[in-house]
Amino acid sequence: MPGKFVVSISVAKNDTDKATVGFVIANAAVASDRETVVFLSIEGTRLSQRGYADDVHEEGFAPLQELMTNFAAAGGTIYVCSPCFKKRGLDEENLVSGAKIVGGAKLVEFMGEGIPSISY
Amino acid sequence: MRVRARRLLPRERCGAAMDVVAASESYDAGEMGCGELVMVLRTKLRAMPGQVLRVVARDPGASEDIPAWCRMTGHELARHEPETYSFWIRARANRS
Repeated sequence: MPGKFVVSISVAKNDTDKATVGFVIANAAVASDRETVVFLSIEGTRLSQRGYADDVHEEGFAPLQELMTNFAAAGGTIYVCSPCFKKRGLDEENLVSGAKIVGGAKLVEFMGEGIPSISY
Repeated sequence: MRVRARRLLPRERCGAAMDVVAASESYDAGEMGCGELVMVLRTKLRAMPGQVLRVVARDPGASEDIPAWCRMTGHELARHEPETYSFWIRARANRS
């Protein structure tokens, strides 16, 4: 059953539990053949940087880096909130696989009408 | 001030894209992006139906955002020149 799905993640190392579960759900969506976007905003934009999540491993879950790598390898896309990214002085040349910096209009277009989403 | 773009190379042409896009106005948005940028574009383009606005937008999200915004709003993205952060947008006709 085709369709789209959005997972919004606004946390990083300030709440590794939420960040991890967000990517677990994103993996479930992409594995269910949904065209899936993870939208990283606010502190969550830090997850867009290669190496940042390497030391995040919540008990009972796969390491966050592994979850993110698997998500991208399965065709998932990561949208990174541009103003949040710039505010934190993050590096455009150091994005993880599958990530692209976008403004709000790109997300609005993707979500269109009636697209399911879940926020962390 | 009118700004005339260089002629497109064959590999750069896409569908019915114009070879040369002449802009009626130019706007340098600097580092502005996201919702702030598209609100400014909305105001400017509404005031110039059928005409072309050249926008220079250096925000790293602009290359994804402006094309998406044009697709949603009915304005025509006539050309994008990433090396100069430039977008030529033809304003849609005013809706009655």
